[in-house]
Amino acid sequence: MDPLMTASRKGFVLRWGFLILVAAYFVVPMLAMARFAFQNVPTALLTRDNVFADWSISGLLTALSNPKIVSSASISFWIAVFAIALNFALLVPLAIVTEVRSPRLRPALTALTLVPWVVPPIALVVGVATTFRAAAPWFLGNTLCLVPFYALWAMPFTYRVLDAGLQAINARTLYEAARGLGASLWTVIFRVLLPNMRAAMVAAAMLTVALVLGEYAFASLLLKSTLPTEMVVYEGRDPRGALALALFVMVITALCLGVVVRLIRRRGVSITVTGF
Amino acid sequence: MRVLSRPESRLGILVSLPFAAFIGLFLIYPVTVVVIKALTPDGHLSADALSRALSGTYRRGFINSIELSLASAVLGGLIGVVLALVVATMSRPRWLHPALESWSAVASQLGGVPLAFAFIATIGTQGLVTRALAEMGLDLRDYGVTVTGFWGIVLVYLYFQIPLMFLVMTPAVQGLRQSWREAAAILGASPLRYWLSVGGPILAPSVLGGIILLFINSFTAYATVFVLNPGGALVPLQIRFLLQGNIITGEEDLGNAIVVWVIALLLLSLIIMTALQRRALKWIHS
Amino acid sequence: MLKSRHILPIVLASTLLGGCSTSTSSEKTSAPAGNSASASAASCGTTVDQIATAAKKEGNVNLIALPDNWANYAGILKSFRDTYGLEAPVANPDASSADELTAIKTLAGQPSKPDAIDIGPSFVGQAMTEKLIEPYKSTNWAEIPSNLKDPDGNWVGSYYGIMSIATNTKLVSSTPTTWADLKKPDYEGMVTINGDPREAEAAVGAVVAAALANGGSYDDIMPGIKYFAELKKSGNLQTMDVTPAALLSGDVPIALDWSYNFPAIKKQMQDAGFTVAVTIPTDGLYGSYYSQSVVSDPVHPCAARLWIEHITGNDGALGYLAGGAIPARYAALEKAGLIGDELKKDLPSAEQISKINFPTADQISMWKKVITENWGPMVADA
Repeated sequence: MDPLMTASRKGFVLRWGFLILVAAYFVVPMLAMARFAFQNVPTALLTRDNVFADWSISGLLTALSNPKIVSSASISFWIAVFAIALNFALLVPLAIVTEVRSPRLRPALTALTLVPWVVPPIALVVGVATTFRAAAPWFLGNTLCLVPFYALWAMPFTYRVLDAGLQAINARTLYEAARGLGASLWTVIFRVLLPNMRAAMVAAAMLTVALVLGEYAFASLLLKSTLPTEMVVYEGRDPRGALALALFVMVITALCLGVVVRLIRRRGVSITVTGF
Repeated sequence: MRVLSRPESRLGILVSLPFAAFIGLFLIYPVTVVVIKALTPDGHLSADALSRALSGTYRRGFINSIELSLASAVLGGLIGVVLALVVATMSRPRWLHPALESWSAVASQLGGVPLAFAFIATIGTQGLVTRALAEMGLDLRDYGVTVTGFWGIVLVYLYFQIPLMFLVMTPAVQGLRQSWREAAAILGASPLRYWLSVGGPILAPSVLGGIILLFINSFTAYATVFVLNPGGALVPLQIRFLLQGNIITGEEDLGNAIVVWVIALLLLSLIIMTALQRRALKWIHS
Repeated sequence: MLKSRHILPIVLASTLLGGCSTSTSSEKTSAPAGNSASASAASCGTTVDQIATAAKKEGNVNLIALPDNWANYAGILKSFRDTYGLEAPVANPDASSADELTAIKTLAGQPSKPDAIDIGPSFVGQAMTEKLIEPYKSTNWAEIPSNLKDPDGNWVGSYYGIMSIATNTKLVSSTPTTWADLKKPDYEGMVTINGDPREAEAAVGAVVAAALANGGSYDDIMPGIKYFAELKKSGNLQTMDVTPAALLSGDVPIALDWSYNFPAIKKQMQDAGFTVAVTIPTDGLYGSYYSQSVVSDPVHPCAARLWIEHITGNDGALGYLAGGAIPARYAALEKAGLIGDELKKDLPSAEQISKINFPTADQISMWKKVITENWGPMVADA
């Protein structure tokens, strides 16, 4: 019998078994969190009888209408927007130049954009705070001053996604062809390369949004009011509602990212977030 | 042909300037400040703070952090690789790969407070799974799995480590041609032999590099463990404690020194990872 | 042509830098930044009404670390906001005493710097040494007992309570009533203190009370640290913090905290189906206050003083009573007949209150030293 055939039946069971185990590992904690958030029965008192008792989404609705939550959500949103803009402004030109003119720089640049992760957030905060407190104290006062930190923290995957996007569309060839046909630099960038990078840019933007919506360390160390920090505060008052809110945010982020991935797949770019 | 006219040659420099300025101002300079402070405790140059940062309870902190990060990196790495391999060999159902990729993108950024609470709700003393297992007669605590203990925290970290490894390994695994597998089978090699001589060596640099990335990722993770075990002997908690939490005056130098060691350790890991990346690139782009 | 590429980053940078110098709507402060060292009690007014007028001109007061469920700060803040119309935002409600002092330092010179703080007495010495607080004697200073205020006006202890044990009786079959009880193996993984004693006063209180129960005294709290070291070793002490979420989920079945921290959460837990018993351990009774002060060089000096007036005044005192804490001016209110029996229901018994005896400042600073040196090696990292 063909060795590949017998292997495949056993392999089928093994593979699906493994996938189901992994899926269970990821789904169960979310279910447990959802149960705690939406059912007003502590786990300790849960019995077979009251499994369906006392479910309600009122906790979530109250949380969503809390003014502090809403205002901090909008603050987080704007921080994300500015961080994305900053990163694009810095990295898109760099990625284009690297891909088109100096591909040798790519490993160095990839490593360099990973360096932010090597520094513990608190060190970054302490270092920046020390210098800015002396030189420009107003900098640390405004919540938007999280933007450079988040831009930095999002750099590792932003660069990689942009780079992967450029490679996938064969930017180099496109560039040289366009230039060869007489297009100006301006035209090549804005009418040839950038439109084709749309998918990668949207992917990078979505990942940054996911980051900002979950980032707690920088915001709390700098004593700022963002959605994650306000959720923690809210948790002190209404644990159930806060967890419902966290779940809600996670689901929305996952859905958005799902949409993004589909968009990208259709365009034929595969995401290698931290690709080797 | 106007391929290399003057504007482009200046382009490289002009484009890198804002980037360099940003990195310089917000990364290089703050880190330099911290390093200098660590090297000059009490105002004069000395290795005193640096050596104290590796002794006593801080030594324990480093050991604990390294153990924790290694455990979650290796476990997460292995499971992530297998996941990537399994998914790569399955062309049906067609929604599997995109769904997993998008979930991984979200899950790899998950962490912090909600994740900690999700696991408290699952394997905490009143967790769903804990109680379900208790009904069946199994007490998780007998196996040393408490949500605030070592293996509990590893379990929590796996939640974002596995997706990260999956995302990293997918392109590498796709580079592993199915045709090689078939060729090996035709030549009479058992699957084990195939993995030992062909698949393994090709994937090894990527896998090792991925594990190092996971190690770096989990070493500085802060929010999750702050919820579960705020007083624990782990490096990020100790740094926070010295630089922000408690106010033992004069111990800031110690905090800075610990940071310097962390950066040194992680930079070393980063360099090893980059070297491994170069080796792995051969197989992906061929 | 090339220049236009770089306009974008430049524009962004200047927007950011420009934007950073104006406050966002979330901060809603309208007072000039803290250069008001010149403001003294006299310039704000000598009666509460005058101070209130000056405070309203300042527009707001920055508060910190006042959780809703802590001695009914929810009610006290509401009465303050309703009476004076100030927004009075509370930053970081779950901050520890150490976090509050750090916040003052971190936010120095910024409009969001806290104007008044509420910290444990173990942290007052440091606050004074580092000049983080400034003295202010409220208009009702004479009515405050001398052991609840600093002779120079650096702080006032507006409320106090007793270290107690709250037990989730649905989850714990036999309620512990003494510190010795807590050592029993039945309570494995259940005993929880509120924070780390190197950072939070509530945890210091637990250590001191345990010391008193184990042969120690205000001059020797090592027995308390040894006690918790033992609990950690036997597995009775768990590492999680006492938080509302953990109490409500049942992950904290036995909590050690001030008596006034339980009435509010008790109600929420009962709603969820638990039953709660709060007991004051008989073998080690330790009661303590918290110190409220005006922060030095405050952004809103008069509003800060108004807050102190409010919490030491009748409204504040009644608010604390409703939360189960004993207000500083209890005797004065009692005399004025303002305390009904309803309000006394969450308080410890009169006998227990009579046993309260506050330590001296020297003893407190000695505690801080002992805890700082020994808690890490003996308990946290053990």
